[in-house]
Amino acid sequence: MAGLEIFSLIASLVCIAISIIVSIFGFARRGRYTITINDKKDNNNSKSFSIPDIAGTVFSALSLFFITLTIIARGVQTGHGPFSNMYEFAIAFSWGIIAMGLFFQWRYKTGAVKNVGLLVALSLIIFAIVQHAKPEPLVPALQQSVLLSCHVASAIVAYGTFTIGFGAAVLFLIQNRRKSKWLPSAELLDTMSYHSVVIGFPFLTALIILGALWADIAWGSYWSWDPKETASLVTWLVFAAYLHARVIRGWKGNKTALLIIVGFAAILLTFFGNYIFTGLHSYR
Amino acid sequence: MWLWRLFSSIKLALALILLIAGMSLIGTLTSLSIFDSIWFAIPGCLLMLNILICSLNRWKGIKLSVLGGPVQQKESFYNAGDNYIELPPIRISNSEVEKKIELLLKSRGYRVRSKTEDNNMYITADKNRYFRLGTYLSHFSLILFVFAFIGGSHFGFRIANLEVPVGSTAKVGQNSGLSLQLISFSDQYYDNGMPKDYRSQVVLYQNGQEVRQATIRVNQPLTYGGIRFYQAYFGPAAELQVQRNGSVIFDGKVPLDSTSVSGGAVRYLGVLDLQNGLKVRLISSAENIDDTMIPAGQLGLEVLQDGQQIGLTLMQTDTPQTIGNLEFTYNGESQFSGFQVSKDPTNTLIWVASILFIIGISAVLYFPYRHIWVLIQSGKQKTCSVTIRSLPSRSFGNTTEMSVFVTQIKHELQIPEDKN
Repeated sequence: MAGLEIFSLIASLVCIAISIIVSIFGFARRGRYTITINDKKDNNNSKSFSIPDIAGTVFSALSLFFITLTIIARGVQTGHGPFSNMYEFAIAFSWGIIAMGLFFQWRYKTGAVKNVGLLVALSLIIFAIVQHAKPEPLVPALQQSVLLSCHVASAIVAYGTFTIGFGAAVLFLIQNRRKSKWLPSAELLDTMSYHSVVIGFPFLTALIILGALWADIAWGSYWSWDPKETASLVTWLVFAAYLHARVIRGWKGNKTALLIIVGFAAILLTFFGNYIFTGLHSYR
Repeated sequence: MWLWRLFSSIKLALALILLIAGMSLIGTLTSLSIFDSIWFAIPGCLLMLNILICSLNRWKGIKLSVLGGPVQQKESFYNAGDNYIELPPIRISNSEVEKKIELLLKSRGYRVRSKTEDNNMYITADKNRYFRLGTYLSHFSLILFVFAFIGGSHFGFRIANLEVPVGSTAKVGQNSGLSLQLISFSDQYYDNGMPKDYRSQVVLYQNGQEVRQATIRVNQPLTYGGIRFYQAYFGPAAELQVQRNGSVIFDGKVPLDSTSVSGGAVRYLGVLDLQNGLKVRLISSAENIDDTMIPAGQLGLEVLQDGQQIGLTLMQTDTPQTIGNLEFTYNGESQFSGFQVSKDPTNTLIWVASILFIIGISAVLYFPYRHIWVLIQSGKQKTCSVTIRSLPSRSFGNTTEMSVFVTQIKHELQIPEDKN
């Protein structure tokens, strides 16, 4: 199982890398490698497929498959979900990013945003490989698998969607200036980033609340202003601000896109926070 | 009133949220104790006030949408705002157009109401109107959290360190009449030395009567009458007897609850307070360490009167020693378990607020409120023109919802799609 875990982790890394390279290639030589299938009855109804696009999708789906395999192989060894150290979190986080990236690609028929997410996922997988930790048993505080599993599952969905939202916001800022025809329209990118916050925000809320309820059971206190707790509150506040800013005239666009980027930075601070500060979440 | 207008502004809410976020960030990155300070409480209170006033202000509109509101609006209403569309004139009777639009709206899950007046037909259709109330659930549960937080610290109590040596009983205090006896304590480890389990076997007494027997573990607190006992920490204890002029003034176990590191040796330290300025410091060496000062199995004793050392000695078990008029007997090593005891009457409130909070946020975001207004006017030569407006225009996905709906209508009414 340990062999399978490492093999599929490396395989996912390779698939993500290929997917990114193929997509960049596709962007650079847009329109060169397309196959057009003409409908014989109706000439207007022809479909064209871009080979790099299809290859990019196939490889990102493959990488999702391999990460899933890694998580399963790891789970068989540890006997629990990916929630005991940074190595396991990083893998779960990138699973969330790629899964949500594929969902948004399917929903909005554009893979551009997913590709930004893939870059983040790639860095996380590299981080995981560097950080690789042998399976270790759970210390007493972590022996609360129901709440903990829900807590981490919410984190995967929330952080995965917000990373996609971050990708959309970054592309929005570029598109708003460049008006590139290779990128989706600014309006679509704005809609995508909003949709990501709409999906992710309830999960982020559940993440924090489940954490607080569990802290009360394990340590006898809902909230102790532990740095990681506070950083997650900052993340929540930034996205709450985003949702309210959307309603204000004149804020939609550059300013809200910047808020998403700030929110994503807060996620990174929360995620890597235990390297910076000490506290209840002082695992490595 | 300008103050009311200020507090009903969402811009103020945004500014306050970002201010609190910024302050929390500073609190995280530095070790400033900002969270108990007034500078954190002020924007927090202002935000609560802001939420209350915004909620009150929105009530009229939300009530209207929940109850239904009027079917007909002024003609100028239908082509106002930024999310409306006027279809080109069509040669179908307006009652037939109305029927088709109504069917389409119903198939998309809308509640449809219509009205005819002076050859004009008005349709109003809405979806997820009850989910709009979710905004109250989420915002009020935020306020509930704050009340629970304040209430918990005023009406409850928290004892961070109730230390009970094995075999001893400790009073909880706080007028609870409770006392906790520790029967046994065990700490288990995995093969690699990582902690596996801490368990304290306890008996709880109320006014001397046994009320509960339990095993307290991490993640498994003991709850009795709203008071909860958590496994917090543990350590060694020394069993000591002290006599003054032949009479026993202390006989029991002293928790060695702090550690000191000096010259590379880790030692456990406990203090026994014998009152009137007389204190005894007990020092033992940590396990598995070759300590030259305090050999394993022995206990270092330092006697202090008003902070001045009056005696220092090393004790072996069952060999009494005399310092001044005091005689000490060390009866061996034992263990203590440290509990956190807390009473939080707002516990249920927090669970309720948590559930309402998540339900409220999910209702608003996952079931967005939609409202479509349609005006069908009959024109000259048996044509009719259709104007469709969707509200609220800035709500998520409404432009998408509107364009899908309009495409379907055009298809139904056989209006060719625009090329642009």
